[in-house]
Amino acid sequence: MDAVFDLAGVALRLPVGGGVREILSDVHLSLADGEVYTIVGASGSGKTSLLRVMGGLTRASAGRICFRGVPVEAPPAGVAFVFQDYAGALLQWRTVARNVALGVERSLGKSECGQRVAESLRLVGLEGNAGDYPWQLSGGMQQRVQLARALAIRPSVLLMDEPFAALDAMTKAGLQDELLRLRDQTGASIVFITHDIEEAVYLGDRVAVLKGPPGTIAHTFTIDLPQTRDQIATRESPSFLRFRHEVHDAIRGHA
Amino acid sequence: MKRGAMHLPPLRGLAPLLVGLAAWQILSSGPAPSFPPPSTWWRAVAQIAANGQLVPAIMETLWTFALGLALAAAFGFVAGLAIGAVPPLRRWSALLLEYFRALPPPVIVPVAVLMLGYVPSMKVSVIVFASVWPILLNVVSSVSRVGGGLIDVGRSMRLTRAEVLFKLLIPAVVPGLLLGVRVATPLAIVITLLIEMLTAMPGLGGLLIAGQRNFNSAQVFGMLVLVGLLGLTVNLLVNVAEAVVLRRWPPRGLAQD
Amino acid sequence: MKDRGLVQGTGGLVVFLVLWEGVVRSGFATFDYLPAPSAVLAALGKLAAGGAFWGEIGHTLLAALLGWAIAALVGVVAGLALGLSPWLRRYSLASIEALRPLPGVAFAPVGLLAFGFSLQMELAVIVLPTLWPVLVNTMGGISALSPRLGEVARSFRLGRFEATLKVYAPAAAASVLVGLRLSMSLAVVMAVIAEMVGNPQGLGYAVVREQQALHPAEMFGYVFVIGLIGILMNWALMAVAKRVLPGEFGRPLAMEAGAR
Repeated sequence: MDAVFDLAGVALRLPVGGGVREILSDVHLSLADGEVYTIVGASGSGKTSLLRVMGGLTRASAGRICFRGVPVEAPPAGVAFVFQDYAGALLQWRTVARNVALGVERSLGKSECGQRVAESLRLVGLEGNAGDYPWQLSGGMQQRVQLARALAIRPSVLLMDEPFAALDAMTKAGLQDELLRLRDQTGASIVFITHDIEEAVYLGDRVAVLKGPPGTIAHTFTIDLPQTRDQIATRESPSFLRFRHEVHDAIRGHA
Repeated sequence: MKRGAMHLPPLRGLAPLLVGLAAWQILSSGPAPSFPPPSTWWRAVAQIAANGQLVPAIMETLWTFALGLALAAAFGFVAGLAIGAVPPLRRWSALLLEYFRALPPPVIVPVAVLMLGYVPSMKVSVIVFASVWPILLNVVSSVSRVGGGLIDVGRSMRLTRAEVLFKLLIPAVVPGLLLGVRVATPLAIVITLLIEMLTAMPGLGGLLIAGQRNFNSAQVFGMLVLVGLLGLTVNLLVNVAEAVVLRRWPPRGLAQD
Repeated sequence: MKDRGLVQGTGGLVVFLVLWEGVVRSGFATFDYLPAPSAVLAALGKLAAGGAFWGEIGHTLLAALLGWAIAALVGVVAGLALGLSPWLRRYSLASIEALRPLPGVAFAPVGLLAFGFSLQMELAVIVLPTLWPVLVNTMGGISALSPRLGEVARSFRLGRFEATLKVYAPAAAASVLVGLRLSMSLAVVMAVIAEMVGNPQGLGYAVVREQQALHPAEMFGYVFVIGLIGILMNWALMAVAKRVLPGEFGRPLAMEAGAR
C-alpha cells in the first residue's frame, strides 16, 4: 500500500539576495491514509516551504516526493491547499457558492456542480451563506469557505498552512474540532502546519518537529491520545501535557 | 453592508460660494474690464450658444476626452497586467515608468504637435500618452500585490493559465484599474483643454482662448464656469460608473486592495 | 536587495535610450522630428552654455515655488481649520467640491486678461489647483487623528490655539507632508502650463518656442529639464522636511489621499 505522500531526502535551495539559501535539507516524511500529520516549528524553519514542495507549488532542489507512488512535479489531482491568508486566497468578488465552485466548475456539469457546492457548504455549516460575499463574513467563516472550496474537489489530502493562526482563540477551538470531524466524515489525510504546540498535539495523530534553517524533521511523535478529542478533557489529560512537554523540549533542542 | 452610497456634502456648504458670487455681482457697479459680474457671464455664454458654436465645441471636447481616456484605460490595463505579471519586466521598467509618470503632462503636447502634426489623431494620442501612467502604474501595483497569492490558489486548484488570467488576475485588478482611471480623469480633461488652447483646434479650449483674445472677460469667465461644470459632471459619472462596476467588491478600506 | 532593483531599473533605462538612438540612427522608423538622444544631449550642452537657459529655469522655479508657498500656507491653515471644526466643514465643503474640478489651465485666459504677461498671471493659474492637495490632505490628516489626542489636550487644559499648534498640527504632519509633495509637483506642472498658453517666459514658453521653430533636439532638451526639475523639487522638499520633522520618518507615511 503506497503511502499517500512519501518524501525522501528532499532539499530546497532558493536564490536569495546575492547568493543561495538552503531552506530545506534532507527531509524524510511519510503520510498515511486518513491521518492528521501536524508539523510544528519556529518561524523561519521552512514549514511553509515544505508544504509548498509537497503540494507541487515549489520544485524541490533534491530528493524524491511521491504522491501515491507518482512523483510530484505540479500540483497533483486529489491534493487541496488551504492558505493562511484567507482574505487573499478567496475571490472577494465572487459569492461564497461561486468561490467553492472554483475547483470543480470546469469539470462538472452545472447541476452536479451545484450539488457538490451545496454538499461542501453543508460540511462546514455555511449553507445559509451561499449568496454572501467573503468580505461580508468574519475571519473564521472565510476560513471555512476556503475549507469548503478545498473539500469540493473531494481531496484525499488537505495541505493546510497555519490556517487558524489569524483567528481568535474561541473560533480557533471550534474550527479545530470541525476539522477533526471533517476528517472523520471524508477520510482525507491532513498535513497541518502550525506554530502552536498545543494545537499540533491536539489535532495530530503524529507531530513532526521541524527545525531549521535549513529545515529538517528533527523528531516525530506519535500521539496516542484517544481519537475523540475534547477541548477541555483532552487538553487537561496527563498524556496531553506529557506530549506537549516533549514537543516543546524537542523544539528547544533538549530532546 | 451597503456600498456605493453617494456621499454628497451638505448643501449649505455652497453658502460661501453663492455669497461670494452675490457679493461680486453687487460690488461690480460700474464696468469692470477684467472682472465682470456673474450676470454678464451667462449672457456671454448664451451668445456663443446662439452662434451655434457652443454645442459642437462641447461635443468635440467631450468626445476626444472620452476616447482618449478609454484608450488609455485599455492600454494601461493590458500593459499593466503584462508588466505586473512578469517580475523581471517590472523591475527593469520601474525607473523608466517612474520617469514617464513624473513627466509633466503638458510638455507632451508640443512634442506631439511637432512630431505628429495638427491632426485629430495627435490630439487623442497625447491624451492617451499623458493619462496612461496613473492607470498603468496602479494596475502594475495591483498585480504585484495580489497576484502571487491568487496564482498560488490557481495552481493549487490546477487551473489552466487562461483560467488563472481571466478568472483570478483580471477581476482582482479591476478595483486598481478604476482607481487609476479616477486619478487619470482630471488629468485627461486638463490635457484636452490644453491641446485645444495651444493649437486652436476645435473645442472648449478654443472658445476660452478666443474670449481672451477678444478681451471678452465675460465670455472667459462664463466658459470657465462651463468647463468647471463639465468637470464636475464627468467626475460624477466616473464615480457612478465605479460604484456600479464595483458592487461586488469589498468597500474600499475593508479588503487589502 | 534594493540596490539590485535600482541596477535593473537603470539598466532598463539605458536599454531604452540605446534603442531610441539606434532607431533614429538607422532610420528604421522615420518620425520627422524625432531626434536621437545624442542630439538632445548636444543641444542641452549648447543651451547650458548660453545664459538665457538658466534664466528660464530660474523663472519657472520662482513661479512654481511662489505659487506653491501661497497654496501651502492657505491650504494648511484652511485645512487645519476645516479639519478641526465640523461647523466650518458643513458650511464650506460643498463649495470646495464645486471649485475643485475647475481645471487650472482654464484659468490661463482669466489670468491673461487680469494681469497680462506677467508672473502674477502664472500665479493665477498655479495657486488654485495646487491648493487642493494640501487642503484635502491636511483635512484628512486631522480627521484621521485619534480621538485620544483631543482628550489629552483637554485634560491638560490646552486652549484651542495652543492645542492646534502643539498637538494636532504635528500629529497630522505626515499627511500634510504628502499634500505638500503632491502640491509641489503640481505647481511645476501648472507653471509650465501657464507659460505655454500665457506668459511667454520660462521653460514652458521655451518648449513651445522651440517647437514652433522646428528645433526638435532643443525642444526635447527642455522637456527633459522640466521633468528633472519636478524630481529635484520633490527631492529638495523631502530633504527640508527631514530636517524639520525628523520624527516623522520612522513611521510609515499616510496613504496618498487627495490624488484625484
